[in-house]
Amino acid sequence: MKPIQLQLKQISYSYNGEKQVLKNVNLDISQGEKIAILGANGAGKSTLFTCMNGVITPDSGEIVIEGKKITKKNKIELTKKVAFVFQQPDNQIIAPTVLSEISFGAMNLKLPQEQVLKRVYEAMEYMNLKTFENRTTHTLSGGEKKRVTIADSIVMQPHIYLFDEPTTALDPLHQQMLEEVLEKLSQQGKTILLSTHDVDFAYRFAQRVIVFYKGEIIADDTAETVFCNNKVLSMSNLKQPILLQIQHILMQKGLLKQCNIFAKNIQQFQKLI
Amino acid sequence: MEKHFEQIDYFAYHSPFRKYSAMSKFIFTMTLLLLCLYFNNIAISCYIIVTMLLINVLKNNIKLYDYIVMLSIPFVFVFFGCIAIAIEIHFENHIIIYVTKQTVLKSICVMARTFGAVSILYFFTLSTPIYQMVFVFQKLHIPKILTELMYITYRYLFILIEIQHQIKIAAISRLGYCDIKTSLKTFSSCIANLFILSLKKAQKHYQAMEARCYTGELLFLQEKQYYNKTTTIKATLYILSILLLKIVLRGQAL
Repeated sequence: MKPIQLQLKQISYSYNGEKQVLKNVNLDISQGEKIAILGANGAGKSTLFTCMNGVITPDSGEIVIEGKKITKKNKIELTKKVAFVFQQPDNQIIAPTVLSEISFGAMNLKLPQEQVLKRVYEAMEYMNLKTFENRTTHTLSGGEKKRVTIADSIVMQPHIYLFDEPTTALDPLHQQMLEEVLEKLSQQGKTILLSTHDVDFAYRFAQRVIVFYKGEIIADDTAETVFCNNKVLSMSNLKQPILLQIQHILMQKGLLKQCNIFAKNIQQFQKLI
Repeated sequence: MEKHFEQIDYFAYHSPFRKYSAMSKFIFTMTLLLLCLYFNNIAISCYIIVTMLLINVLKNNIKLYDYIVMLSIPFVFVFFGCIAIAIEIHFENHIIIYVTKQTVLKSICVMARTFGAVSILYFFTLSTPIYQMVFVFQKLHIPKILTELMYITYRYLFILIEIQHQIKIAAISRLGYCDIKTSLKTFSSCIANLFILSLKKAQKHYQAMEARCYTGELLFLQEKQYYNKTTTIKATLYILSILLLKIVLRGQAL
């Protein structure tokens, strides 16, 4: 069992003291975990991420990162260790060129210029953006902008990555590329949390699935267990992943043996049948 | 207007001069501008207008048509301004409107001088993207608040243009611009919507900046720029040619 990297204890948050968006959220996240956060619109997923990254301070509760309790004074420690990739790249990109945009986070870490440059080039290489160095950000396509925003986070070399609905508005090619990048980051020992409505992607990628309903966690288990819980799925307007549905149909028709192994991708499914 | 702005940005971004030091270009432009304004000579102004046209068309890869279209915008303002200079009005028993050789010459001189200056500034604008200009302003120790505002405005302009374009298309698709009355109504709602959206966007941007350890100062790495010896020599020779022209034309009023 890997040590706990990030702990949320009894986190509550409300906008302008009115509607409570997060209600007593408790969450333990271990290093290297691949977690998908699911839930209907307005369930509190994005607010949870902004809390985890230190952009907003919860009304009550405690955040502990790598054993260190986060207070208002050391909030920056959280921002340094937890990177947040926003849903809409246009809400994140602020600099005029790709180079300056990617350098923004590293420059804010007050690193020496040579080190910033080294990190920027590494991030560009990682996201296949080498040829985009001097491109103006407003001339990039949606997929390219997404790559830039991921490079924005990579350059800060965080321990935890938060992706807010990363597949939104991406074409299949960019979606595949994104999944590959997430896998690569995960293999490097980084912890990845993503919020999504794409159940197939969540099922394929995540080991652990957390479901939010009106600011509360209603399920926190392995992807297979959560996606077999019809009550949770209907409460949060979710559907079962297509592979799981097919597997269940085949089992009901007797075309596939009853088993507790669930295929997460086509290759695994082929092996199973 | 937005098309024009995007076009200028496009030309500046694709300019062969883009990679050269923005500061060198700024010094060259300012020197030329000072000479053009100080000499106040029709021949020198025309020389600058023609050479700038040639540089922009032949070296900066801008189509002659596009360049003339771009120049036509300030031309309208300058032309009417010069008409006002050329015309003299006297109020005695009757109102007398007349032109003299001097006033016509004066207005031509103003027009040539203005166009000379506009051509020089166009060269700078069409060869230097806005973010490089902001970099020059930073080097010149212009207050940070202004340069940061310039960066953000530059980024925002494109976002808002894109949103405005989308809103407009959505409105057109629902007959929002079918007649003048509806167009005015739709336009006002579009502007109001754009204003609200820009506020929301600003809030989101601030969050995104905070998510990357923003502490009140916009820090970026700048694009590498080159100092080119040959180009500098050519620029110096060009300035010298203007000085030489002034010597040749010494004693001539225009």
